[in-house]
Amino acid sequence: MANVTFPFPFPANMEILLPEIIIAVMAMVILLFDLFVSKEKKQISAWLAIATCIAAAITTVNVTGSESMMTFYGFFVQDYFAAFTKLLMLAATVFGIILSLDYMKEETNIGEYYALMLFALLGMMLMVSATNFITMYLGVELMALSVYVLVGYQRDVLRSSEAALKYFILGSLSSGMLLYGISFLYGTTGNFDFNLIGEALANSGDSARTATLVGMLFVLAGMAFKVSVAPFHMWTPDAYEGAPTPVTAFMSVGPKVAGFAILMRILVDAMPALEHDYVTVLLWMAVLSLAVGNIAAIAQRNIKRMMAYSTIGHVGFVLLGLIAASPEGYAAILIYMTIYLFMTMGTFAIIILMRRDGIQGELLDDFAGMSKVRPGYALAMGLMMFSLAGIPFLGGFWAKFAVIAAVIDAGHLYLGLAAIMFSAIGAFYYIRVVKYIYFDEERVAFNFSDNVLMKATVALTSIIIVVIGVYPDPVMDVCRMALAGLV
Amino acid sequence: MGASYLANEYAPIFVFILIALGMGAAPLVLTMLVAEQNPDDEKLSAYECGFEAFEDARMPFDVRFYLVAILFVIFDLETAFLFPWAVVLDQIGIFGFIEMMLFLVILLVGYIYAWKKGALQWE
Amino acid sequence: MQEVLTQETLSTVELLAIPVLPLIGAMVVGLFGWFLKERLSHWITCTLVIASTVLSIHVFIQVMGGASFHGNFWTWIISGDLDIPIGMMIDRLTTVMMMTVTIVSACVHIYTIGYMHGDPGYSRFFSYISAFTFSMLVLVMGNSFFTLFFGWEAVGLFSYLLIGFWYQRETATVAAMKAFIVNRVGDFGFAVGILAVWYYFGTVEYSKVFAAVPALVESGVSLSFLSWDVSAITFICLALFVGAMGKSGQVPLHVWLPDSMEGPTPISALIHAATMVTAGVFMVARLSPMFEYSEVALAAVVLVGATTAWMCATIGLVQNDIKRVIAYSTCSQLGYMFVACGVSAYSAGIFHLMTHAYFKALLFLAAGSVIHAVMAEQDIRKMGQLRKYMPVTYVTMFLAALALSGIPPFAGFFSKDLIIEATAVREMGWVSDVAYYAVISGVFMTAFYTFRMFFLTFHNSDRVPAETKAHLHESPKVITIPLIILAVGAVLSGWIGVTYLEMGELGAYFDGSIFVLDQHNPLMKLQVLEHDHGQSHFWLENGPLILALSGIGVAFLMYFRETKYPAMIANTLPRLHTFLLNKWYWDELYEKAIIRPTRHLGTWFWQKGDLGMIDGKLIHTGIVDSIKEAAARLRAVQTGMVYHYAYAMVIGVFGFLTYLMLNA
Repeated sequence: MANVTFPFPFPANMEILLPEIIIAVMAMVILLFDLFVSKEKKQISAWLAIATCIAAAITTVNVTGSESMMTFYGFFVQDYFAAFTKLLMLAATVFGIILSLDYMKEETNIGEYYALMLFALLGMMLMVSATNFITMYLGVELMALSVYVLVGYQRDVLRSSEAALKYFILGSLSSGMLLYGISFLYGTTGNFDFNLIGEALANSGDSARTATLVGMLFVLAGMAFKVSVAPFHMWTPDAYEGAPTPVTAFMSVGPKVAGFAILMRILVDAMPALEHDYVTVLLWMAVLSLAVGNIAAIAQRNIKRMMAYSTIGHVGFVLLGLIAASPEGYAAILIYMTIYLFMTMGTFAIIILMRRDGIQGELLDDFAGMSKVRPGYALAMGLMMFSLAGIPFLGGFWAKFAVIAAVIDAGHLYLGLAAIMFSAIGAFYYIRVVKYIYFDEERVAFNFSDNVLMKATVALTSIIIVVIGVYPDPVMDVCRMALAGLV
Repeated sequence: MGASYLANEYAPIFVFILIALGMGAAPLVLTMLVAEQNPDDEKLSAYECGFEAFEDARMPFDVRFYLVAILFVIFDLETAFLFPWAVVLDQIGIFGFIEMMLFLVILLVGYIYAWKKGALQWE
Repeated sequence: MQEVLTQETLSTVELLAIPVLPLIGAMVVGLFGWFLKERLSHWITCTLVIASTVLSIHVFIQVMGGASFHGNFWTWIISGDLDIPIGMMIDRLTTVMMMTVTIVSACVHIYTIGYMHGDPGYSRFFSYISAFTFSMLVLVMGNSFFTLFFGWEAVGLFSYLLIGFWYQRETATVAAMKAFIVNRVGDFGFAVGILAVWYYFGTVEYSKVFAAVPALVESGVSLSFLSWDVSAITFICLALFVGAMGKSGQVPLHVWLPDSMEGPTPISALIHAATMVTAGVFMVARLSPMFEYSEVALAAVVLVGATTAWMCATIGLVQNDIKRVIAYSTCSQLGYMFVACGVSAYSAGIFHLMTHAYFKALLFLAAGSVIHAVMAEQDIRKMGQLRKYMPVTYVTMFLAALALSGIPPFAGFFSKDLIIEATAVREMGWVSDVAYYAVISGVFMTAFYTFRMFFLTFHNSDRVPAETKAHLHESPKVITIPLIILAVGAVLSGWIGVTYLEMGELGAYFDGSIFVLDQHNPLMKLQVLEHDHGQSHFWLENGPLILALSGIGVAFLMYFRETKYPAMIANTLPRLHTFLLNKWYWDELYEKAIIRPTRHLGTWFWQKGDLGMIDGKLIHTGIVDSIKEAAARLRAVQTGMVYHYAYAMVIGVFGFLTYLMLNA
């Protein structure tokens, strides 16, 4: 930044911003659209949002070349890695919107809701394309602020507001930590750019090592909060439970993908010199997350809370890929995220379908005897649960297999074994859901929603999980290819 | 570097601090010196946005205060952004101009939104 | 990825279609049977199996003309040095088996339409028998020990499923389990044999293994087992033969075969007479290039075969269950086939396998027809005079009985005669002597018990209960037509085999697919004897026929009309009679020597291990409870208070920071 020429030249490669521009513009359009149409037509904004995501996905594919391209004077990068994670987040958003169609029908100001989702998406996309802490922070905050509001969207539901407030307060704390860490790193290296920080750290030797480590730790802690890694996970169960269920689904995938993607970029570009140190920290975070996620879930009666702990457990698995610190590990993370996207969306789709007059369908008891009434949904839910538990041959098995294989290859045999053990413990609460569905007597009348798109979502995700489970090679190859921009 | 560096780099800030202190102190001092003093109970009580002073701090009050405050902050920041932009406009050229216009358009969207939502009306 | 080693005119698509068609039928009917109902279920499976039969015959004719196929289609598993391709080896030995399997299977499929009509498991039954046909075809068509093993285990599985087909009957499930467990014993040996093959040869493909056998024998590699030195080839052959004993019901692993008659009769005909149980014989013949190099293994094959042939024939003399008589006969005839293989007359063994498949399947199906008619009664003491009611069954069964007894010109005569002659001329010391007396006396007993069963069923006095009599009728066409088809086979297959295929001739039909060392070859000696007119070979050539005729004669005297002789003999030799009636007490022996100790051991593990450790202190109150407690504690940590959460975050950060600083 030292030799800037004035006046600024027009930035090159602006077209790679096209997906983000589309989303930003459409988010605002939807926001205004909602203000000026009658109540009956407000549902259109959902379709607009879906169309936006599809358009953004197409442009993302079109603007991405085999070379990584930068714009805004190196503040924004578009490569295979960014494109792949963006596609995942776009898919998560589309699923999130589909899940919201029925759920949010009764809410007022529905356009705001979808606009916020798009803004959160924009933030996430900005994150994964960040080349430095400034862009990254911009993205993180845009995402986080939008999600805070989404969590508290049902203002008249006490639980929802409470969850949003907790999430907001703790989120501010974590943002503070993140900024604090960034400032330390800036202090020791004089840079925000990941690659330049990496160079500076590699050349600095042991001078200012303490300050660097503090900076690294606070950055990790700040990001760990966003992806709900223990011990920064405490907000997760409350926020998941309080949020409207589609938002829970959305936030258990989108921000996680973005968070892990940017963590990968930071660790690969900025901190290769600190590998030994960050691995020791992440190792404990992974063990804690695995333990908390898989054990605490056993005590839950509410399926959304259970899924929150499930997320924590899965995040623990994903951390294994970071700990491996190898291309295999990073590829495994992408594989994990891809499969996790479908498992989670399928599960939440079924949970939302369960909602009926007066009953949220969120308690485990509500699932009792579902197989007798709706064998199709019961089968899908069973598949999802088995897949989440990592039973072969379903997608979830390969996800876990990939990260554990990577971490063992990297020499962390005991961590791999611990992960397998926690996976075995975790299988209990997933399969318990299947037990409720198949072996218990029906306790309440079922009255499933009839939304065709939701049904399609359930069917699609189930099929994908089975197909990936039987034949995982194509997905794995794509994920390996997507690493091209990263390493 | 050293002390001379500190003095050179941070001297303007020190001057700013002095000016700010002066700006705060001046009205108080001047009123004491210049204005006629005629105090009563109401005048002496602390001013709290129309609320009773010395009550429980946790009492609920109208959320609209927040709304106004937030809107104020947003548009205030807009101005704070416009000033430095105006100063360097000749250096950042047409690109800088377009950027600021986009920023203003986005703010305008927010403004329309706030207006249409009735956030600018007290009742 | 297709790697064809030799191929002359045979179409790979056609070859693949032969096993795959029944598999498709099995899957379609198995998965959608609830939707297809009876009519479509049998139409689909029967059509596909008949198509497979036609293709098999077509391949058979091509192979007769000199074509053969040996190649791999794709690689199934690669793991380290282990490379397992899936391929086929089609030669004359294979085509005989393919044709036999598919023809009998097709007949049984059609027969089943009538026999199982109205059964709640109708389409399940069709699915199973089609899947069985697929497995059996894989077994015979494969070109490696692995495909052999796959087919071997798959036929075992379907045998199990079909014996226990009427799973509501306790006897059926017990019999199914017995079959499965006894086969596990054999399969253990079989698996050890295959592993040894891989260990010594480094491959599981037949052609490569066979090529390497002489070198292994030359090298004199041996292994020491319990201070007993065995050469590697002997070890491999014996281990594989243990598998064959299990599958083919040879003593002492024969006990499951008679009990398997609990399954529906079509299954007894298809699996437990014509095809699956002959897999052991097929294997020994297929692996003739290995067995030929091990005198010990050949002697073991002869001894086991002869013992079974004789012992099961004696048991068959006194049994009263129509199916059990035939079942013991099957055991006994399988013994003949093994004797043939053991004396290096593999072609005679396979010949007998083929003829036996037709007439034994026919016997079973005819017996099934009888059982069907007399309201599921299987005791021949409660039958009699049935010929009046069921003429077609009567005639076909009569032909089958003649074929089994070895009366010319019916099928069994040619093949059995060949076996006995080969045994007589093969010089293996006392082993072949014992075998010869066993098989020659077996001929008499075979003829006797076959016609005893036949006369008691169709002649003798009418002992059918009155209420059954009203229902007595000839079976429908779908049952009688397969009987007639098979009867043609039972009458003609032996004659065709000798005249056109020259199965009994030296170096004729099976040349190239079966390997026999010259010094072993009994057929060669027979040929020498034929040309040597200096000596009289009257007994050698006509002895079996005389014994068979006398067996029938004695049966005629005792059972054609109701006589007092049977009871008289039983009273004179009460101990022998009980001994035979109780099947030499094999079951009781196993019960006492193996089953009870195993049960005790199982109970001990259950009480101490399962109830004590797993449900008790170790797992249940130990691990499970502590995890539950941990879960409850973690839940308690989640207070819902924001400041607790923030506190956790801050503590976390500073904990990590301290850790980093201390380790930095």
